[in-house]
Amino acid sequence: MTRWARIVAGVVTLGVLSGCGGPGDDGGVSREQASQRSEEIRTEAADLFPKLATSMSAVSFTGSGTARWKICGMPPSPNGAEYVAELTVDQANTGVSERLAAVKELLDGQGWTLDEETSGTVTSSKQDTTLTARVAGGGAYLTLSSGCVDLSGDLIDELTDPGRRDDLGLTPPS
Amino acid sequence: MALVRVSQPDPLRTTSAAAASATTGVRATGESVSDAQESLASQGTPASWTGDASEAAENEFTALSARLDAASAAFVRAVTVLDAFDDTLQTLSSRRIDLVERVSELNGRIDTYDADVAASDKDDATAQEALVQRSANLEREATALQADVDAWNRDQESAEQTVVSGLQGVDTVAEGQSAASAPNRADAAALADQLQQKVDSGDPEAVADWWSGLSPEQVAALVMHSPQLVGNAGGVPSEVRDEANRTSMLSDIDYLTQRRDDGQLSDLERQQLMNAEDARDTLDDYQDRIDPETGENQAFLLVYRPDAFDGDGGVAMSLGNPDTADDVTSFVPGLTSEATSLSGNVESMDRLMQLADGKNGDRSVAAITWIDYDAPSSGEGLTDDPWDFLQVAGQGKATDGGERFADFVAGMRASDQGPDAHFTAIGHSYGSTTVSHAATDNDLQVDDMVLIGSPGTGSAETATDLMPEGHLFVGSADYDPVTLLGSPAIGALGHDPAQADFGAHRFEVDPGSYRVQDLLENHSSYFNEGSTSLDAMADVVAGQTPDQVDGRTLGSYQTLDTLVVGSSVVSGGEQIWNGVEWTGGQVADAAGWTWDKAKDAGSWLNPFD
Repeated sequence: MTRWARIVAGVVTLGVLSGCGGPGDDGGVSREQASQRSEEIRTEAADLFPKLATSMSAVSFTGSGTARWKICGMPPSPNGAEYVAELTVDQANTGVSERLAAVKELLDGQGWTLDEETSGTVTSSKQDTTLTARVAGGGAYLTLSSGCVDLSGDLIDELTDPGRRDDLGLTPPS
Repeated sequence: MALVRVSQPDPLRTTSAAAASATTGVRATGESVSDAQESLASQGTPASWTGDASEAAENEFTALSARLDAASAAFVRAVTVLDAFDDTLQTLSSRRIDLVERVSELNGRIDTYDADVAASDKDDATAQEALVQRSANLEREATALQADVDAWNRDQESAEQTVVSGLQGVDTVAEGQSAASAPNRADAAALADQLQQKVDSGDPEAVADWWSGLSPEQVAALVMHSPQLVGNAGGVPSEVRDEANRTSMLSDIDYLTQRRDDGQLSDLERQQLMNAEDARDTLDDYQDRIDPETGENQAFLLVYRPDAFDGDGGVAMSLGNPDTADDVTSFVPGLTSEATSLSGNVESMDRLMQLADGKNGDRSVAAITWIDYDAPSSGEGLTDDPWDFLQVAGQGKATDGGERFADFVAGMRASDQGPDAHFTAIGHSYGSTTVSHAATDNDLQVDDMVLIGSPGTGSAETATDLMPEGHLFVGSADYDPVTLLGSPAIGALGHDPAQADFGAHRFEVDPGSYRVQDLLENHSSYFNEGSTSLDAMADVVAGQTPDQVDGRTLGSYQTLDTLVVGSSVVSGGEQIWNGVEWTGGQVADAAGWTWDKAKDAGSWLNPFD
């Protein structure tokens, strides 16, 4: 490596390492588009999670379900964020295998495509949205994800601030 | 006669996570009372204040101290009762799951029996006799199972009555005074001294042995008295460390919020409050994650030092209980990591944990984010703190951090329950140098090691300097410039572990974008959902071996200068110069200063030979 090349490389790398992005770093979808995508996920979760809970004879939830933006990639320079809705069913009146079968049947009937099934975990998708159901022990852990959305660094920082989350307001089937 | 189905057990009315949350609140209040009592008892009136008024005040302080001591003893009793209730709830939860499975299975067989009866030939005496026999057997099983369900329902009611009567036993002043004067009352201060000595000896196994001899009331008293000590002590069970650290965190937030509202917050305290609130918010983000068997919350705050490293803070959080998990991993992030970086790094660990969990069958996984070293931090950019940043190219902080990380892992090993967990250390960027130092300098007790985005391995010159053969895994994106810093290039942080002659098991990583403005993203993409690198790391965490790819050899990859120039050309000429000029502007001050430092320090970067 020539001397000048080392100097240039060193300076540029210092910039890269420092978290300085460079031209083109502030692209991505607008705040309104991000908001719209999060609203779509909440709406889908409000519709789908109760149906899944009913299918597995859920008795109680841990909390009422939440949704929030999570980073894609790693700090300090994530490359986007995904909006994820989550619900934990902590008690149900059916066994694990029954719950798993009920989840798959319901998703199939609702037009979801089964992408992968591993021990107790079902991953399905519909257009750009991914649903994961982890069925174990007494209940299930359900997530619905928007997939990574290209956002500007500032918007990622703002939306993924710890503690910033939406309450889905779900209640267990009576 | 139609068979009666067995009824399912009642719902569990309180989960372990809910009980633990309530207990943490009570414990934090108790800690404040205990602190106030100790402060009052030790200070009294000032020596310069004499006379009748001083004597009267001294008497009042003594009386108040006694009342606070009674309250403190009552809080210890209450926490002991609540802890026992939590344990009972976890057992009830596991039993309920078993009962639900059994009831569902038996009721299913009764359904099948009913269908068989309906379809049977009433004139077939042999078939009818067999059905009668099945009916008798099913009825006998159903009666026995219903008895188990009824017993579970009674046990839940009994547990609730026990906790209520236990709390009622310390809800008056007289009962608090009685608890304070009980001959078997735990001496929290003496226990704290003993624990401190064990911690200072640097032997977490000794801490674990000593801890296992404590009674539940001694544990409750000690955690309430010295949560900072207990929460950060290697060898103490992770559940207890979490309880202690959450107690400290809540107390800090209460105290510092009050000082902020009073306009008395110092700069360090402001940082401390920010770190505490960030830890709380991150824990809250995972408050619905519970163990599907026990109902226990699965987020554990294992280290909480909000005032460490001049306010950058130290913190570690696990998803999954590392003491009981079969596969445990601990991740050390790199440059700019500080306590407020917890949330994003925990999300990376969450993705890794869930993927590994799907690969290892019935084995359980815990994933720890460890940020308890003084990682080089640049804040908003280079010009903020050039000295902090310059140390990225020095190994001092990695050496210190490596020692701290090895101690942390030793503590986790000591508190491990059951068969030894399979433990994987993961270091990213400067964190990989830190993990390397933990291995070369401090006997890091891990089974596997993963280095991603590594700028160098410290003093390790080959893979076997770090781990036994076949247990060092390396992920280096082709277009991640940080991975091109290690020897045989600049080498300020040691060797590039992706070099073929280093001898590590290199796994596949998506090469990344070949645009100069995306190079930093390439360095931050190892945990991307669906990426080959995340999948490979999950393999390692799950005790499997990811596919191997060729290590770097001369001519088989782009060196740093080639990458920077080449990716700039591809990105367009205008952007090259905008980029270099812009970046150069950012670093101009630091570069000049760096040059001076370089001359002073010898040739730390050695680019000018």
